[in-house]
Amino acid sequence: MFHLSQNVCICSTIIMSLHKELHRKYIQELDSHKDDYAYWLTEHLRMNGLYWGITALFTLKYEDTFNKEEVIDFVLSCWDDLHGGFGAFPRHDSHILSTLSAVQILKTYGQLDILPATKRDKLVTFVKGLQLKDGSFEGDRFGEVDTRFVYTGLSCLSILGELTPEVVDPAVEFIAQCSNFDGAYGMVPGAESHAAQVFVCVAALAIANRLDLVNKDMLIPWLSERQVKGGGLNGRPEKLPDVCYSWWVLSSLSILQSLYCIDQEALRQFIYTCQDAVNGGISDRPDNQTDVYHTLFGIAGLSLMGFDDLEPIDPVYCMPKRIVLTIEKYGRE
Amino acid sequence: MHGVKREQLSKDAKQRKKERDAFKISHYRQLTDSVLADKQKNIFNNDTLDETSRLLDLNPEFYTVWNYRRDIITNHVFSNLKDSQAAHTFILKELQFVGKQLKSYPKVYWIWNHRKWLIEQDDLFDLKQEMALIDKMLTMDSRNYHVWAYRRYVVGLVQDKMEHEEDIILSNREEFNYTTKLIEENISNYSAWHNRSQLLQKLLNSKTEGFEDKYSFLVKELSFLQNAYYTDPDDSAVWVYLRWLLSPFFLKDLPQDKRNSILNDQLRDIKELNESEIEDSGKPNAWCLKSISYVQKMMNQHV
Repeated sequence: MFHLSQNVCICSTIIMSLHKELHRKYIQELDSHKDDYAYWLTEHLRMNGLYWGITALFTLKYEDTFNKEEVIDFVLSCWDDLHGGFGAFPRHDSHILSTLSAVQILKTYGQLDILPATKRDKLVTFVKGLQLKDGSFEGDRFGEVDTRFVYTGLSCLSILGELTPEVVDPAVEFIAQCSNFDGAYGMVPGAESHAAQVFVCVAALAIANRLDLVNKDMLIPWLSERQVKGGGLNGRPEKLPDVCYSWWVLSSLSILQSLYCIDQEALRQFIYTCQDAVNGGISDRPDNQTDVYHTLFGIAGLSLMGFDDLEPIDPVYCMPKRIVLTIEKYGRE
Repeated sequence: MHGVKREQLSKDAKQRKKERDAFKISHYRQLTDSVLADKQKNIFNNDTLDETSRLLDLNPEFYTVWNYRRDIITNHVFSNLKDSQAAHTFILKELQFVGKQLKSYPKVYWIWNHRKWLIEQDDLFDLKQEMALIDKMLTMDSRNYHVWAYRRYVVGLVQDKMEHEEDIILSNREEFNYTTKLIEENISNYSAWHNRSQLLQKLLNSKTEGFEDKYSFLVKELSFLQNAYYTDPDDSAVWVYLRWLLSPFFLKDLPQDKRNSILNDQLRDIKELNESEIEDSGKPNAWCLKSISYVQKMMNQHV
């Protein structure tokens, strides 16, 4: 079989551990760095950042860390009534990415009903309105098309229970066109395969209940080959490993029920070595600067592999499994 | 945050950074407040356009401000221009602004997005000129995902304007030769191998010279590939491409004897390469082993 990972060496047999308490503290304090210029330069990512932080905390089983009311108030303050979606920060424009993060946060806290019917309807109209004739989705009214947005649109509508064949069928058709010679997927038809695009395409197909379209004989080996010396995973052939692929690659393999194809112990060690053991947080590679994005995807990867007694995470929605269980599955009896 | 070294600042250094940041923060917040306030009031004029330039220079990822900038361009700049020549002149200036941003931030989606939007607004735009910028950017980073996507997009626009099928084929040939050039420079360039696979399918469909016959093409392409895997047997890009050349996509149309001869030759050569790897390093090469097992699988499939 072709699935055996190769070139993997566990350089050290020392088993380190996940610094759960430090990571909790790191995430908790993210909103207190208001004297740091970078805090202000990242406002356009705040809603996504909040979703990454909250999902990491839930996975660490520290779900009471943030004040729920404050979180919900912040989310609602980012509502953009002109376009009918959520921006990343108050007064920012609606975008499909920040809208999904907002919906995920509300769902995770069991607060979807806090949206009045008028806003909810507007939101569904906004997301559906971003779908183009060829089944793809644009991120906002300015026409950027990417399989990321197809996933984002389907995930969002699925959480809201608003998927219909009129939306799903063309979207599936568009994704099918994005598969490549290596069995993996790119950003648009013709674009190079990339592990993060593989995740969005495979997860979107999972939501659409159309995993039968995946070329598993080609894709699964390609995914397993993302593991490089040192145990980490890269996103494309001949690139450096990066902790975020612990999510993009692993979640895809998990959806395809093929997690056995990589050396999980070696990946676990790689994620551990990317932790900041002093201040908490996880970085892309050892000794680099940490951020909440890599912190989530490191922890989420460990959860998918079943390590460290973490809350099980769902590989399709990147939310706690027990919450995803309450989402109605599309196209299944 | 990708590729930025972690640093532990001393107490003094932290204090100094805090003081430096305080000034920057106050400037940034004032500018942001002013831009967002003007945006809310739909103020579209030269002053607000300049204001967005200043803010985007500080933060090129501020998507809301890019949106506002496009609204200013549409509702103010374009509506006050007398003809498409004037629009063209404005867009060239705007592309310089974007070009400067791309130099510093070649991987920011929002900047690429704005560039695409701009050239779509310009009827007089010379797309060939754009290829020069793309070539230059791929010289700086031959794997930049955004640049490759943009290259295919621009080539697509060029081809959309072509009236004759032969011109489109010629353009695909040029792009195919470009991948050959990049691969000869660096066999690890998977982005080039990928683009080659895309162009190859188009050229095979067009039955143009050198691509009329799948078998002769395959023999030629395998010998090109063999040079690459002999150069660096640990390079993954090459082996993934080999797997495709030996997949049903190519083999299904070949007569049994030609199929067998291709698979037998590959099996022999890879085994030989593996033997020499064992001689050199004392252990087999993992990619050779995988590929041997793949070729054997393909042989069995076609018995």
